[in-house]
Amino acid sequence: MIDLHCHILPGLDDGAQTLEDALEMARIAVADGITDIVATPHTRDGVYRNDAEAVLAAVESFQRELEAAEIPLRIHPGAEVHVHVEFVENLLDGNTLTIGNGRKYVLLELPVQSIPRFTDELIYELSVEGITPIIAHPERNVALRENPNRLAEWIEQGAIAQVTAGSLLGKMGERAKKTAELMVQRRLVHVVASDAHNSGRRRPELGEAYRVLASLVDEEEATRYQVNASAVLQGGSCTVLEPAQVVAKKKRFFFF
Amino acid sequence: MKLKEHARNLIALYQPKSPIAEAFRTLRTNIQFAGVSKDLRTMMVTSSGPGEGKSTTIANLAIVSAQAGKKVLLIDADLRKPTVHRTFNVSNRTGLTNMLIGQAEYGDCIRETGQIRLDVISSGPIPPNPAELLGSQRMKDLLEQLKEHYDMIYIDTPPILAVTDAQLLASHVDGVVLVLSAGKVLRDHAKKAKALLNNVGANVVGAVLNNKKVESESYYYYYYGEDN
Repeated sequence: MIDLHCHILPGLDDGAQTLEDALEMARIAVADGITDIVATPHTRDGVYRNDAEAVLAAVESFQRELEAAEIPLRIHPGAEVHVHVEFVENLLDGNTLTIGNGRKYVLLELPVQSIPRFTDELIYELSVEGITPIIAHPERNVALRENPNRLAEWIEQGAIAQVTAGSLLGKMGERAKKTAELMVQRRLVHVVASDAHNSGRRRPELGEAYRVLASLVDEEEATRYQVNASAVLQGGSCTVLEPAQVVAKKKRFFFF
Repeated sequence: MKLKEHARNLIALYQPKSPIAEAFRTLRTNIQFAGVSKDLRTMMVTSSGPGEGKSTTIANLAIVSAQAGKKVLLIDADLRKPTVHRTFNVSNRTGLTNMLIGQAEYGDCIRETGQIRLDVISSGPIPPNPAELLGSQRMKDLLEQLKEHYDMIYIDTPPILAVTDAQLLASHVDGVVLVLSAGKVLRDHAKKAKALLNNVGANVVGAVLNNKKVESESYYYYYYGEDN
């Protein structure tokens, strides 16, 4: 299996802090059947900068450590790039990384609460440049949770979305779980990834999440998630079906 | 999906033999005749209200001009609701507004559309003060500079009754075409739009009656010449 979203590189962000943490995460991933991890440290989110050069160097040195420790895991360079004003410029100038440094897919992180005003334009500009944005964990964004049709519009424009394994398993809270399930059923997400930060609650495992997926949709659709993940890593095309209409949630007067 | 949308908007490009494309060519010819006594090199399109078909009209006008062998530029001066970049699928990271605030030269902002000799300048990031930028001396100077490189410059603008932008621009250009949507625009609004343009001494060369119902039986509904 391929994990497209993982904070495994030691000391770059709020993920693995030490080399030992990172190696432990790697062992968990391999035990779960993961063969490839795209290292996606937080980038330009106001706290962590993580320029391409630094990430590429960290990937190379961590790969050597994995080999020394005889852990059969391949690390690919990447970044979880927070929405910021020079998003496209930084990608085109090579300051920030795309998935696998392949210039085809970029993991795009939104703020937790809201959708910045220029997000629509950003997604449009990426499509003009031939770069597909992967919206990271839309099920955890409050604005998208309330109005999933915004996500459907971006998908129509060529974006895809990544649901987090832990959300499907209920580890990120009940609301994230409900939203994740709804987004899977409405075909609003296309790949699943761990978004692992440590070897505890947010660990790099996908097997269980794929089993949950298979219980939510038919087999063909569940398989598509894995095919898509491999397409993203290789810079190929994903299969994206038209999202099902989402009826806006009505505000009801209930007494709790 | 995207291509389909383009095909609909840019009918003169994708279906050059359709009666609608023919109508755009006729419109272009009529504008040429309107300008026989005066050199019409910069032309803007506006309407009284939103959604009357300004942007579609001017994009297709620009296309038929380019198809006729002219070197044509289309500028998106609708800084309220810009659409030109999406219509032609070009970047809007830098555009007119960057030039107007002195952040970019026109060389950085002109985008080629590819198939025909039509270049576009998209709106650029939406500024807080569109009217101020469009009414500026810099806008006037920019048009003069660009005229040296193009035979014809078309400018898309916001509706004239809603904001003052189009009125300000009207005095900078050689001619104005008013787009009126049949069955949608109110007679009074159309008159008001015309009056606003006259107030600034604009040269209104004519009006386009858009969205007119065409009887499917009538002969000009059918395509000219051979199929495809």
